[in-house]
Amino acid sequence: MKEGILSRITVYPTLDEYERQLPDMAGRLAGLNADVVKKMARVWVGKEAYKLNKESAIQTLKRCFRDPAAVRRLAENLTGSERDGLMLMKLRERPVAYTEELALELLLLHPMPHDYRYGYYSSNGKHYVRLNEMLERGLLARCDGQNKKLGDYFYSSYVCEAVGLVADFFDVIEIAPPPALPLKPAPEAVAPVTRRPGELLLQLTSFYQDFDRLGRVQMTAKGQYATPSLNKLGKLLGWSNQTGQPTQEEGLTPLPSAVEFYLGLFIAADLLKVDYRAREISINPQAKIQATLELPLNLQARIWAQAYRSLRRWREHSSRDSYYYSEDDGGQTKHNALRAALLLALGLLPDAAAWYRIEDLSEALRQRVGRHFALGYLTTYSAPWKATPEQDAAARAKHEAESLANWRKSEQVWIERALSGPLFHLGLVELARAPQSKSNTLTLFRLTEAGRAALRDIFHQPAETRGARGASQRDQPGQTNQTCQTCWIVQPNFDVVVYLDQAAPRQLGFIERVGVRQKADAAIVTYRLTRESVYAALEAGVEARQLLQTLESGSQHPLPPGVARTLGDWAARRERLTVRLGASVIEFPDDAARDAALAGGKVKGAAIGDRFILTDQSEQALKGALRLGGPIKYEPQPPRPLDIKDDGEVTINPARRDLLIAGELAAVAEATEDPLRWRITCESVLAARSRGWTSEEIIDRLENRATGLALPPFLRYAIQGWLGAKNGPGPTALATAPLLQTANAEVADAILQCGFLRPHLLARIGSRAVLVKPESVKELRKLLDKYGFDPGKEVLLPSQPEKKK
Amino acid sequence: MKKGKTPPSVVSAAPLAPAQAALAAPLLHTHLTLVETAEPELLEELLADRRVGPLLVARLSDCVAVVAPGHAKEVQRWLLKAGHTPRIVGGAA
Repeated sequence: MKEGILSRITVYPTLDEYERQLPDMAGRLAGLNADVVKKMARVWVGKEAYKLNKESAIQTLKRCFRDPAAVRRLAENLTGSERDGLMLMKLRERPVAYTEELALELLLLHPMPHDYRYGYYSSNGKHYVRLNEMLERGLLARCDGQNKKLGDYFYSSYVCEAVGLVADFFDVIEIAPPPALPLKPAPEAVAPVTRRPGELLLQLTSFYQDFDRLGRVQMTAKGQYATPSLNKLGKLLGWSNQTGQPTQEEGLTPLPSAVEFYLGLFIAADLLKVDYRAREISINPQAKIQATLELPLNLQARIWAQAYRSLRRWREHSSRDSYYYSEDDGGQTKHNALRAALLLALGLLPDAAAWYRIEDLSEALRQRVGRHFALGYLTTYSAPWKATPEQDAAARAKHEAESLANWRKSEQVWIERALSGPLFHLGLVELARAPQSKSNTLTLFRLTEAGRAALRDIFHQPAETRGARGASQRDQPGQTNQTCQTCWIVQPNFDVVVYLDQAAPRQLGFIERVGVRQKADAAIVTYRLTRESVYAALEAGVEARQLLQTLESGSQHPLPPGVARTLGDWAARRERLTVRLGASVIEFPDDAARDAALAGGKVKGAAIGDRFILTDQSEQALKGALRLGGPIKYEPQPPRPLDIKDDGEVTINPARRDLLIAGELAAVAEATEDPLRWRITCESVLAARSRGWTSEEIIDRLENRATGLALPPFLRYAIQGWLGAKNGPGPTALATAPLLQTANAEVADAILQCGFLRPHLLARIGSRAVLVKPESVKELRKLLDKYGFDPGKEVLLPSQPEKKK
Repeated sequence: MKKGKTPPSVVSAAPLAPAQAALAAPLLHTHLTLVETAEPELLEELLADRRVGPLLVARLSDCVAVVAPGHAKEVQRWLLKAGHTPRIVGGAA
């Protein structure tokens, strides 16, 4: 659902938001065609529905949506695909699902028969058939509020993003494992490659900690991750993979653009949130990320598998024709659809512990979904005009061969990348070589224990242990791996060597927070405790005692005495200095008044100096207890009590005096006997400069407190001039020079153009005045007299405008 | 603030203790940034610092000074740069 456009970013709501805005199906029925309403009512009440008029049918439907008995009755008469559709929704523990994902999952479970008679269909929306059946029958509603079938848009990438349930079916739908895929296990696997749980935890934990350090990631106007932010995050993580080249993993199991992958994964898991208005991604304050990372791996695997399915702005492989579908806007794509189908297929393997060929899995997927779905444009069969049966058969065979080749070039490569990339890195599958294979290519796969828990066991768990929504693992932070054993060695040089196989998620989270990662491999990570990292951890809320205790309890040997002492020193050093932001201080007339207020319990806080109390109480609470003046607020704009004159005289308005103004003035002005009067002088300004102030800083500070908002321009120039600033007043001159004035500009022009007068003149100033060379005054007077200009000796002042009578 | 322009001998602690005004009633000052030290000597040291000193504009006690409005982040930055590890309390400023 495209909710709105901010700038050029299209906003894609999360499933949580879709769930909150789930369309009121009952309310929308009135807008439907009578036949459609009756058809829907037939699903609920049988053929009787056709005897109803539209209004009665609507009332019947509304009643049925709310009636648990009607819902139960309907559930007993659902088709197989409808039942599975509702089961897939229940597995998501939400009444809403992304359209692309659910559509292809349904197609995988209930593939369409391939019928060549419909030779000319070329819609890319054919794979929505099963989902459209559910929409048509009124079991699901489109979240964008429209009623059309899905996939009826030729040459358009727009697909309704989510669909929602019209009634609560979760209590009446049982979760039952669908039939297994017809796959044959591989007899033997060679050199299996497994992602260790510790590696996965380290990756996830370090990503979270480093994102937390960075604070936020910016987005571009088009809704993509901004490269500078990605680079910064990659640098913090030690992954320089922005070129798409994997660096932290071996070549056999590459995870390209790992930063984007984990960013998308955390967003899809609702651990990070996208603020489209601010164009940035930040930590979701409602998410308990550390608690999530401390869940048992099998529980975490479910979260990551679901998040991977809905991951956006990242793709396993750019397929042929992928240009056909624009993915610039970050919405759900066909990649999400194929991920959903792949994850479901992995849950339907005949033997959970057996190895399988990736190629076989790909073929099984092609048989079920590949005839109606492609990542790019779907090639379709069209029978030759007036073809003989032989020609038709040959054309079909050709089409089949092309279709298979296209799938192998595109979708199969995508599946291989998905298995060796995200699914391997999330610890859901392990990979191996086939025994007879001469190349190093990993062609076999099997589910790991976490993979089985996330993808297969979900069908086998007793239904009563699962709820619709409340059973979300993220809501159960209590289920953490509580057992923490010794897993690191703290060395005298402040290096901490962590053994990943022994480290609990909580310990990894702790050491990521207090140390700086130096190097990591599959089994061991080395961190260094530095003053800065320990300080950052203390600032992030780790207590000094907890720091030492956790380091000690996780260490296989006692902490080196030097390390323990230094850590204690660092923590103690932090206690020596506090910066208190946004503090409230009460100023009393004298110490007696202050002490009385404290002793009488009127004010709660700490005494400072002679007359002050530092308090956490609100203004309202204080006003109830004291006859309080003020309050005076200093941020974002402090009071403006200064009256500043051209000559540098500064007067503090006693009515607006504040606690800081004298101290601020003392830095740039001279005090006088009157505490309310100060003077800005050359000396005071030079003294400020000697303490490192620039003219701009002096002017800014004064203007920040001046009643008139701006400093008098003359004083501004004076300050700049005293400090020799570039933007100072520049040269001025005060001289006595003879001035020749005329009655009007034309006379002045005539004199200036006169050849024998010009040598006696200096320059014209203004329209009716000319400066004369001092030595030429006599000669010039004589000449002017001779030619009838009659020069006087008095200055011609501008005439005053006549007052109107 | 420009660095390295004057010898330390010229540096002086600009802030003054706020003058005791004839207050009719207690005054509430809000949204202040305070620097608190464990010992008076440390605050003296900060006041004498050419970079941080001018930004501390009022001294409320031997161990508490007030930062000039709008300069809280600058003071934090300078303290960290100077090797201090201040405890940051609150965040509404």
